[in-house]
Amino acid sequence: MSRTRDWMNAFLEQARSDWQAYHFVDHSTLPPCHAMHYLQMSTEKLAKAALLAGGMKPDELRNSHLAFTKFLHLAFRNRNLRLEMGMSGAQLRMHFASALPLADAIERLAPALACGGVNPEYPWESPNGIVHTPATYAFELTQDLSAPKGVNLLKDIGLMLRKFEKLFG
Amino acid sequence: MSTNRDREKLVADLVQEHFDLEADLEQIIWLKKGPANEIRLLEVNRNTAATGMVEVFGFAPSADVPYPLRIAEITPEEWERVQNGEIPLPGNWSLEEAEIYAREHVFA
Repeated sequence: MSRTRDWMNAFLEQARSDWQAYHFVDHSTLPPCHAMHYLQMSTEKLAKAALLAGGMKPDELRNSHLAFTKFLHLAFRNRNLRLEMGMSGAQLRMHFASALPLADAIERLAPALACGGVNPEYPWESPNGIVHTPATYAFELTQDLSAPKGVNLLKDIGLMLRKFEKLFG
Repeated sequence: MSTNRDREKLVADLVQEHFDLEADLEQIIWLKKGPANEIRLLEVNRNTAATGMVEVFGFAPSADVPYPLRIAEITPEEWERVQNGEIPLPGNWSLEEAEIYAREHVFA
């Protein structure tokens, strides 16, 4: 097995574990920042596993920060995914297009993309000088993920993680 | 056993379909140099996020596309920079022997 393949499997395994942790924490009494953190990490690793499936080298992933949104933007071209979801290319394109703002919001939870703002890991200061703690912050995204578009996106992420090998290689 | 002609027809069909589905797609570059058992497409889309790099995603073979599909999407500005050598292609990708499909020619 090639080294890139080993890395793909490792990213996928960790993405699946992060996904389990997301659900576990999301159903717990812990503050929502922890669930958001696991969700962001799981989707980042899912997208990076798909990049490794594309033949990119592990070293080339270091500067990849918008992979999940890009991944979702391209995903409707995947014939196996269309079959799994029972949609035509045009239907799947629309389906994912409506999820892109949410995917972007999940991706931008990563401190590297949060530009010193809202993120689930480190305190930040808002423009009015208030310092926020992730553990006491009400993440709006949790509400968005409970709405139909959010529920669908979470379902899609679960499917892509479960059937990764069949869909992406 | 599939032939080069089968593969060319398949890529032409994929190109047509991707242009049909994605209105902001301007060009699709088929990178022919590489393993014969995979299809590599670089798609130039004015409505994708610019990241300053070429990120290639892998799709597994399917019943009607029986090759692994490797696909990357970049902006027109990034395509310029790829051609100028400012943005590198992934290690094993090359523009040598590439075939460029422009929307206006596909739909001419």
